Amino acid sequence: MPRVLTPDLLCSPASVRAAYAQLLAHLGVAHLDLCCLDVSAAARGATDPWPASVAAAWEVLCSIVPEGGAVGVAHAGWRTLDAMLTSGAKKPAVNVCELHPLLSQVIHACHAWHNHFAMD
Amino acid sequence: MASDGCQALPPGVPGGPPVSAGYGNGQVAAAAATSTAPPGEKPYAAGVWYGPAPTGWRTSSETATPTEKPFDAAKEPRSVALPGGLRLPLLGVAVTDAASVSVSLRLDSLLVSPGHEAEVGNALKAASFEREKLFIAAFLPGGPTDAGPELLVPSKHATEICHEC
Repeated sequence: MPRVLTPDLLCSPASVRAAYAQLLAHLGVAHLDLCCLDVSAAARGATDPWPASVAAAWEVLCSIVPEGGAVGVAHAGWRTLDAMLTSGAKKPAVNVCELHPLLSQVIHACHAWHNHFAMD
Repeated sequence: MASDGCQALPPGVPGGPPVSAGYGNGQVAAAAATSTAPPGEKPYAAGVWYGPAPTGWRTSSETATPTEKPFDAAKEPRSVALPGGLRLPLLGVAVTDAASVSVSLRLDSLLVSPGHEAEVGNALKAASFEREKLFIAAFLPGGPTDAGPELLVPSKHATEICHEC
């Protein structure tokens, strides 16, 4: 099954819009209740835990999700969350992450920011 | 002190004189003297206890291994409370195939795994559902998707675990 997005699609605001529209088309729905930006791969190995390209994608995603829908992040580590929130970005509604005992640092960080979790 | 240098041990203590088998200490004999046999039973026979059941005994139903109840999505908690009166659906199923879609529809929530959007979309078209009653969540990858899982915890051990996920 081909992926909806190619790796470099989200580097520009226009790409985010196109990717979101493509996602809706694939699912056959008019809107999403929750759209999460998976930041794990972008932050992996990067010196900046909240890279400028991801920050731009996040801003665009927050602007195109209609009212009533929520935006969140996925697999964000505590460094990413810290950098994200201190940069003034919109606070994500959820941080979808895998529940694991060794993820206590992420969980504690989210509790400190009064964030919430969805677990898969 | 005894002549052999050892003090006599009381009955029942390891090394001491043995006690009678069974309930010991004359319990059977005392019960036989004070209890009456149930109708149709002999008054007393060795090894038969007519008194009250000793405490601590449990019935077979209590000691049997409990059986797991079948999963019923209708009885599972559907959401958790968020500040401001909002409800966050419990996204317990990541949809990766058509079979998972049917389970998720019963849970009224869809967590669409990246790369399975078209497959899930086809399953949604085939199924009849009320969109307003279905919570749908999906992902947009924020960067290269072939880089593997993120190093969520900065420790060598955790990194190894995450690579196994």
